[in-house]
Amino acid sequence: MLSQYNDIALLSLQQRHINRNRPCFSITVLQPQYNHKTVETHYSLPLYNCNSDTSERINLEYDWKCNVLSYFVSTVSSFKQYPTTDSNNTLLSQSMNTDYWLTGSLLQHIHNSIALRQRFAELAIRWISETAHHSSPLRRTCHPAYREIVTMGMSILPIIFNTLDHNPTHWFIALAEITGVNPIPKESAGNVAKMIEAWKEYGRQQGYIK
Amino acid sequence: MTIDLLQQLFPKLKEKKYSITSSDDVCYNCIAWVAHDTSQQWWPRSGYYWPREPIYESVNEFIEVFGRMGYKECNDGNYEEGYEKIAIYVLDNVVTHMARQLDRDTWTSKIGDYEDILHNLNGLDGSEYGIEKYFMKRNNDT
Repeated sequence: MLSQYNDIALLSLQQRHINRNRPCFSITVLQPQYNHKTVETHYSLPLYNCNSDTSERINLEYDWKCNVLSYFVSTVSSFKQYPTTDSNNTLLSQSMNTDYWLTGSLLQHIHNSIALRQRFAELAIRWISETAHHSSPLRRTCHPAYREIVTMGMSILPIIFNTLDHNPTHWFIALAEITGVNPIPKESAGNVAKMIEAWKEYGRQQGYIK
Repeated sequence: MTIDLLQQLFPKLKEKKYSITSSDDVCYNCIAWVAHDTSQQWWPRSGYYWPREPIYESVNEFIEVFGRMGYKECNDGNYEEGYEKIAIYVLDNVVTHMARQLDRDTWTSKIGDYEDILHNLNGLDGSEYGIEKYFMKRNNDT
């Protein structure tokens, strides 16, 4: 069942192997947006045996994809009653019907990332639902939920940048407050499309958008 | 925006006829809509379009800028043939919203990021926008 404000939802998942040493999950997810629409995305996510030297390679490069997998793993774990931890705390989740495991450090990273995303989603939804009828930037950005998002600091920037395309409304002030810069050319002020592009260019330059 | 939410935010709308006249759009806001501009967000603040270098987010700043666009202050929102009137809504004397008159009984507003609506002058009064306190008018030919 796809909940409107779930961060992500698994639509389909299929295991396949590119070759013997590189098993992959082919994943399709639905990402519900605040505007009641959904975006369907396809990922091919490599998984590595935890005994392999390459297991940590997943970590940084596949941050967003790991969120997808973690959502899947936690869901499957609860439904199938698979173990989520072991005595050495190195093996935290077992993916469905496979021999491949996620390492503890990776899963911790995933969980932290998901917790941040979920908190952001809760705050953003509350903020939008309670202020979207206002045009005044003061009334929009003094809302407690918006202030809490700003206090999350740099860690929240990739998520805000990721949100800009689907839900551009009034994130520019938060971005400026967190980063301390304003990349919007004076002649673009007020033009939402140009403001998004200016911030996305900044996000790309600073590595927040890959 | 659902009808329920609209009426919850602005309970006075129910007292008279009103209607939603567009889809939601974040590209412009209520001030831009009053200025017949649907391409950008207006507000006297850095990061928003404003026809001149904004000084303060004061009522006077709004009155002065719309004054430069040909509007003159007037006493009320009563319909006057040949004139387009606009209303400035304030809450605690801080500007919250603007609306533009279309005919004798009809005003048009852009509701934040949501849709444009048609409403009567008092329809948006309440805890969200406060009341329409300042009025301006200009000749329809301007």
